[in-house]
Amino acid sequence: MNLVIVLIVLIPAMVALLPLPGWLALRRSRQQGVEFRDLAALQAARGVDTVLLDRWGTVTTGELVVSDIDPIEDGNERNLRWFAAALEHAADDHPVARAIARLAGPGRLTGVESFPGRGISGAVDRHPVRVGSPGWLGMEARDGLGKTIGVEVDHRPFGYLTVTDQVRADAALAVARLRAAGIQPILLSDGTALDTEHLAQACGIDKWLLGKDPAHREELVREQRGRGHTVALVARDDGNAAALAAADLAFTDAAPAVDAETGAEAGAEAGPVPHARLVDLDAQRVAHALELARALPGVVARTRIAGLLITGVGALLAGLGRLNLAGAIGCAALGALVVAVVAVWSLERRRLS
Amino acid sequence: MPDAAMQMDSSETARLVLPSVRRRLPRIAQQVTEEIRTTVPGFADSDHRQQLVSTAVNSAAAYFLGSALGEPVSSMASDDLFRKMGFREGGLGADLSSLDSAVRVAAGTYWAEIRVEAARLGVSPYALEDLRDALDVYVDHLLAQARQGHVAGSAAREQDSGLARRRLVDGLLAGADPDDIVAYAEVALWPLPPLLVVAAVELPGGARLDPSVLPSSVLCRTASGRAALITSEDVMTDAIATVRSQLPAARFAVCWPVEARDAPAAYRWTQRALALASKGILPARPVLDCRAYRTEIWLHAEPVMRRQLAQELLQPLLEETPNSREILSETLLVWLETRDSAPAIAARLGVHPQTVRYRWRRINQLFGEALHDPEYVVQLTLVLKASIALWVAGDQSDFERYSGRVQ
Repeated sequence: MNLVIVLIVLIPAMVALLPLPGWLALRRSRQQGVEFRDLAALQAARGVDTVLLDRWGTVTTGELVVSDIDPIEDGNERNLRWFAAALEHAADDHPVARAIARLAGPGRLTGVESFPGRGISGAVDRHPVRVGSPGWLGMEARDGLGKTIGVEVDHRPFGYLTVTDQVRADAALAVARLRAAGIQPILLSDGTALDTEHLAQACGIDKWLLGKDPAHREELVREQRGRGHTVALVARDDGNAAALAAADLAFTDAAPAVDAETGAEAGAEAGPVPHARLVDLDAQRVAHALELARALPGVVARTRIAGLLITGVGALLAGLGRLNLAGAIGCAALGALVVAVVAVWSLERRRLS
Repeated sequence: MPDAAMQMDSSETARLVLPSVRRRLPRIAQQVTEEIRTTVPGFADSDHRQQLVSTAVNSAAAYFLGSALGEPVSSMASDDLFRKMGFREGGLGADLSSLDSAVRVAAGTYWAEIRVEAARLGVSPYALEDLRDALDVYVDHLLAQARQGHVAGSAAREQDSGLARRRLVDGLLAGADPDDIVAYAEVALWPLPPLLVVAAVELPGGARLDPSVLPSSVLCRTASGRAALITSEDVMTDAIATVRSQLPAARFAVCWPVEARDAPAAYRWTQRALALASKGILPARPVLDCRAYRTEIWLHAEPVMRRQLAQELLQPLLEETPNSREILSETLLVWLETRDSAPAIAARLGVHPQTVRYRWRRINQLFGEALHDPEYVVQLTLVLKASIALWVAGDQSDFERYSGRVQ
């Protein structure tokens, strides 16, 4: 009988030994838009000390925005917006095209033709329009921040549009959070040095790297790891697969591919890199997830201490013969409840802090 | 006119008696008309016939008096009138007895007046014998003219009625004398409506229209590949439907209702409308309502003036591409015609309002202050209305010729 009572009062300790905080942290993280593949991925995040933030989607919205509209003739600003945007509605899905198309609604187009790498031509309400690189249009090239696009209407140079990154409003806050957590943020960009430096400054990032092609990006990741850093890469899956695979932890936007026959995640065995899937690549989500991972050991310790204390009190009472079977069950239930409450409270306290 | 007979009348008697008769000619003419109306059967209940014979007889009387007084007058007009009356009687299947009676009644009335005047002047009746002979000879001459016309009219009547209708169509489209038209219409048994509608028809592949499919109220002139229809407004629609059921690819240009005397002009307009449609200047509709394209039909009647005006007024567009000229002109014309807002003009042209604002800016850059000159604006409106379709159809000669000249 006494043995049964002792076993019962040990239940809170057993509960405390379960990975309850980890499960709760995974759930909490999922609610915040970051789905770690498993507990191991969450635990791997604890050691991250360097985060490479890809330009697209992390500190920017992943979209470009037209930052300057410069017609050649004064007073043609609205016309410039209209003709360029109307034509770009028919362009291939591309950030530059999307940014320009947002300037105005669609129009009546005819004879639209795309010239990859150069631009697009067509007729808007029967007016011949070309939008593309200034060199292609025979217009003077312009240096400066952002990407400059030339616009030609009725076979005449009509004006310039400049598109730049759309920086997230809370990008600097996210960077500050990472830095406060002892994590070094590094901006990884496929843009020009000038644009990248400007973006980094806008977000409060000290260090930035240029990596235009996938192989170069992978190399940059390995280089950081080679310096002894534990590196997390936050980037779109598209075009960054190799670099993501080279990181210690991959934050990306793509759902793992599912094998049609087995139902298992393709490459689950082959790809040992821990990863998390984000609803978007917002740096705030990444900062939150990493903070959570870093707080997890404390939560586990507090939970276990609580479990052991409750169990110790129960064992003492049982040893003194002060507990009958009903009392032992009540003590175990109360202990398990306290363990759970401590785990949740610890996570919540981290969040509130 | 038998000259020999009249030579005898150049006498002292004539110079003495006839001037006073001639002074009273209008009154005598009224008397003659009344006499004919009351005494000659067949003239009592036909105003038109009675009017015709009175006009002819009084015209002949004026000639007779003038000729007897030795004045240089021509008998052609009165001879022609008597031939027409004879043609009309023959065409209607009537004999010449009524006309003969009317002429003799008239001659008797005039002679009585001459005799009364001679008596008043104390001239002997014997002295009038030469004049009397001359009058008889002249009456016979007039009746001979009438018989000549009667023979032609009777022959026409005896021939196929299609010929009479053909003569009427030809007369209407060629602008024949209104009296002839009336006579032709009566011979052809075709009631002449107060207003006519003329249609020109273009037939595909040189086809020929079968007039027998049309109701008798529709006059038709047909040739290889084309035809002309004349009828009243209420019948034309059915006539076109009938022809289209026979020749579905036929194209029509229909004029608005006009009086018979304007039929040649109406036919010209319809032919021009078809020609403009074939050049792409007017829309290629199966039935073109000329009323809707009056300006184009009018201005394209003077192609040289239209071209010169276009070259002069549209000089600001010279440097533009053909495409730009076309779209700027279209927009300018809609604005000149409507003076609407950019969204309203955009809706008419099927483009975005911002496109219209851009075009308007270009138009103002190109034309500047000229658009504030009312005379310029009126001429520009007309020229654009007549010319835009021409340019759209691909004819850029207005600008090519001009650029060649200024170089």
